[in-house]
Amino acid sequence: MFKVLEKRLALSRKGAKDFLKGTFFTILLDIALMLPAVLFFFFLEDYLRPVLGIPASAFNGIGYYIILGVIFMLIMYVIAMFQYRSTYTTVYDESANRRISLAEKLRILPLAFFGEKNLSDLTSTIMTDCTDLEHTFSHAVPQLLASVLSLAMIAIGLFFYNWQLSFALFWVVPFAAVIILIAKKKLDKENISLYLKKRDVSEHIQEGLDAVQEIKSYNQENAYIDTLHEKVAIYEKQLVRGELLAGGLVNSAQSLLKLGLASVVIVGAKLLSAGTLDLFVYLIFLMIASRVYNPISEVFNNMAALFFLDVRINRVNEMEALPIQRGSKAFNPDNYDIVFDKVDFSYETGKQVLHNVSFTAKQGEITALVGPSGGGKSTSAKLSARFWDIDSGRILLGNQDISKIDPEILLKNYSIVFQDVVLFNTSVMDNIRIGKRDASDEDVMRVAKLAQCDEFVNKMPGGYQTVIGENGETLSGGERQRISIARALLKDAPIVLLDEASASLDVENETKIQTGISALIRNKTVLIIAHRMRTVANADKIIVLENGRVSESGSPSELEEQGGIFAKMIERQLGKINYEEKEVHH
Amino acid sequence: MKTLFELQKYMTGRKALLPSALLLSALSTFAGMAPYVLIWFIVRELFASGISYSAALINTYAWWAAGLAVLSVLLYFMALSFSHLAAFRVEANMRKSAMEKIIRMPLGFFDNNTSGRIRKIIDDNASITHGFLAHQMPDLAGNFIMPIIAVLLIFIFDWRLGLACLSPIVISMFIMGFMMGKKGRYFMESYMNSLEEMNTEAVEYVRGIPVVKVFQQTVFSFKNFYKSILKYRNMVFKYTKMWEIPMSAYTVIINSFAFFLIPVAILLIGHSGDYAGVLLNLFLYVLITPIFSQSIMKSMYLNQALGQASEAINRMETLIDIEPLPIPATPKSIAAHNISFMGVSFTYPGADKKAVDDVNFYIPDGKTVALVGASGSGKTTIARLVPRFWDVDEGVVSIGDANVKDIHPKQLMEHVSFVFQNTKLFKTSLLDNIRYGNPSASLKEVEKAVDMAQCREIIEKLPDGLNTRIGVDGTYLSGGEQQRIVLARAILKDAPIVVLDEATAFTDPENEHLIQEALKKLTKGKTVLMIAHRLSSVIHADTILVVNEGRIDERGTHWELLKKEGLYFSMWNEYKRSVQWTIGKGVQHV
Repeated sequence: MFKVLEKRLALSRKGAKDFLKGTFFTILLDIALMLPAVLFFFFLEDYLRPVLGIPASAFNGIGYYIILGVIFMLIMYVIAMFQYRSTYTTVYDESANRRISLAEKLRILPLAFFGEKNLSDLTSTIMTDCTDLEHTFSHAVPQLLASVLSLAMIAIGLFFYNWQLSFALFWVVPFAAVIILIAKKKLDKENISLYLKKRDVSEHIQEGLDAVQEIKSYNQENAYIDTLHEKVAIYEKQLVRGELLAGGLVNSAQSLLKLGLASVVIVGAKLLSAGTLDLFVYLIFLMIASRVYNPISEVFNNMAALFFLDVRINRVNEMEALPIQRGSKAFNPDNYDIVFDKVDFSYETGKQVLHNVSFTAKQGEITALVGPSGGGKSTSAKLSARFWDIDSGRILLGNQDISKIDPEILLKNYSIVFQDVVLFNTSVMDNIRIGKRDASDEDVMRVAKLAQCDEFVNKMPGGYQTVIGENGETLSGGERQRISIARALLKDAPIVLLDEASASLDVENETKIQTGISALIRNKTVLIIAHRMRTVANADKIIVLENGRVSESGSPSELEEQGGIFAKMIERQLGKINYEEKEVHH
Repeated sequence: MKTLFELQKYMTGRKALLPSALLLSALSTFAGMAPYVLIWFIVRELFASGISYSAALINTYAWWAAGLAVLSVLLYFMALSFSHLAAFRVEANMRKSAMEKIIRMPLGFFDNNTSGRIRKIIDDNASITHGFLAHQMPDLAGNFIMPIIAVLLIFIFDWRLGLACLSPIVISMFIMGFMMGKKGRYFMESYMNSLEEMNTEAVEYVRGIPVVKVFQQTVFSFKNFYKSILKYRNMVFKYTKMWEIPMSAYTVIINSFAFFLIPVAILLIGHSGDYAGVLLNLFLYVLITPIFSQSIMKSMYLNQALGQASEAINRMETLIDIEPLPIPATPKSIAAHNISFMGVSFTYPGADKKAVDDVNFYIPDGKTVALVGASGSGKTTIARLVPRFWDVDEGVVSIGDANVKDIHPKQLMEHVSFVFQNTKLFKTSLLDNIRYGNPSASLKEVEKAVDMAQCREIIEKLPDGLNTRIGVDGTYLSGGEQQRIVLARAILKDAPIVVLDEATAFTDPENEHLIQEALKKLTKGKTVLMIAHRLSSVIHADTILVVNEGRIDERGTHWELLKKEGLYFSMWNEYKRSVQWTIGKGVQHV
């Protein structure tokens, strides 16, 4: 029972218990809320006798009803309190736990997972899902279950009381339910189409905003707006269609329910005149008929909300089920050589990116990955730090297979300087200190100087204590890059993974970043993704990757002599640079 | 009410919808009350005639009751349909009018407002007002009418029982007032705030994971997020705790009409001895009171929704409350293609320092001027003043002796091509993307532009050539390739003035070379204002302007500036060092 709940509703064991408790009290409350009606029946039974011509000797006095009323109110109040506590309060505990466990999960997902772009969208979706689930579990679901159960109990009770009238009362319900089910099926289809059309509008708006420069510079405002109008009109039409269908079906179900009222009145009247029904029972059924249908249609309405829940719960469960990388916490490498041994790798099955890649990046040497874009340079660099796990072959660090080492332990040995730098909304000092938690302020400032951050940090209003905004939005690309180099310097890991492009983000400050990088790589195992052949002329080893295969490897001078791809690339690029320089010096 | 009138503005062609929806909803409320009254009629007949009641009469009442109940549902359905239609129209019009206005904003507007933010405001706004109009608005009429009917009924049938009915209503309203009052609102606000804070922390946390993982700091960054989760939970705890007693009391009270009615009924019977009369009236009240509870509940949500809707509208209006650039009444035409800046100063809205400070220069027809300087020096801002991203605060920017402010924006755009860093391709075919530069261009002309922009090899490797759609089915171009397509577009436009930002985003050397070729084709024979990042590309400029803190510090040709041994000279040396850098050898000092 708990197991099913945990899985179906994405709840913890405690959450499942709390949920059941909440539902239990909600049922209790629903029953308690019938007490006023019960009191009314007592009263009717008592005081109706003269009207019905039944001889009555004594009536219960006003005091009796007041006391009974107060007792009933107290019972209702106590149950209402328990119900409130068991649904509202506990559910927030559960959702805090759900958030924390999701966060924990995110923490241990493979790094590759975070390469996807819409990450912040994903996060806010998940957080919104949590909030929505919170609301659904605190209000909608227990209420729905309680309504269904208490209605069922009432129905059963009434059937024992008087089956003819009960039948007259409830015959409409299954029909209405069928209509609602049909509606749900039809609406699912409509909703998908609606979603697509809405996305179309949203995307068109986004595209317009992104490309506003083009639109304006080519005088295409009117054409853009015309297309927007078309798309919005299509969307609006779909909205109308969906609404008429949904509204039509739901309302016919509700109208049908109301027919039950007439059938109770008429059947009751017939039975009454046949003498098989007494007036008191008839009155009670009339009263029930006047109010039982609203909760029923409420149940139908809430059902819809429950269906939407599925999507959310699935998203949360999917997240929980994502595979994580594990490995040994102990790691004792013999040295810091990185060895690729016949590595095959694909991001998706069927689309192999690396084929049988083998090379060694020696400790204390600079190994450059070069080749055309899409050749597998970045992939190889990232694989060396276990961003993903490979399909076959082995990657070794100091003779240890990295796929058997816990990623967090493994990463201790790497400094990574890539193009995308993530900064936190805190001080510059703390942003650099990410590199090494226990570094002193002096240490931080020392590496900041080495990474050429000193100059721009000192220009900031609060110096190193300046808070740099969400994701460091106040800094330029080059400044961000220098902070990331400072972090890496502070970390002082034995292996450096480097994308040369990161040096060129801010052309005006290129030499500053180059100075920082030069300081960073001293005496390390360096794996660099290189784009400019001149940059790697002094590398110890060049690996040329082409279409996911190693096509050449060796020292720059060896490769130049071979006259292969590398030599051609050099020729083309250096030729160009020489030509530039010729012009400069002519 | 004010909010409703605001919304009515967006109801073009369907102005009658909202009032009709309100009217229908009101009628539905009346019809919804009728069955209760009819049941009461039945009871009255039974009380009055006992077993000898008129079956025909009761049948009639029954069918009327059912009929009116169904009618009430149908009227409500119509009201909802109308309100939905209104909501859809409003939603559609809000999106359209927001975009119509935004697309005509000065281009500088988009510097301060990221596209994601604008779209979020538009989307949120549309969906909140939609929700309000479609679902809550029709209840508004019911909520106004319900109390009136209630009071009428209460006092027409028996005012003493009516008063007994009123007491729980008053008590529940009082409790509701407490919950919705100052303290309640304060809590609501802090609730919303801590929810938002938690979501922001979540995004920052996730964005930071790749970094903190590399540095083994996950526990540290996790702490902030963890704290915000707990803060939110504690906040909600306190919030719900505060509501525990009033909410429970409220639940009890709005269900307690019987407890108030019965003692009063007993008193009345004791007084008059009229069992049948009093019980009959009592029956009516018992039938009707649940409707009151419902309506009180609904009005609670209604207030909240109304507040949200009016806030959404406000946010939207604030966003687009910026004057579009004024269009001259009698536009001047562009006679020649020289550009001049005379005493131009410009300060970004909200900034206290001038971004451009007393800038003067002149570009003769067909000549090239390059702007160089450190990042943040103001060179980009200067260039953007030509196509009127912003209007200058002081001085004049003119083209062919006409102030750009006096030129019709359409003509200005026709004569100026600008190619900036963040130009985008549309998610459509390459052909359409290039033809965007000149929709009437023939295929031959497009092909020519393709060759000039060095795009031939891009197109040849794509499955459908020029008809390949970009950004769908996994067809993506690299940054360098995209830039070349953008250049083909500009070449096809063939405007006599080119304002361009030399590409800075990192592209591989192969692409860079091709892009340079394309740029050469684009600028040949044109008046060019160029923002340069790599000094190698300015050597041939007719004049180089060195921009520093919004001012022009030095000007001249490459060789003239080198001889001066000033700012340009040191930038040049720096540049030479950067191109000679090789990894592993450190930075050579020249």
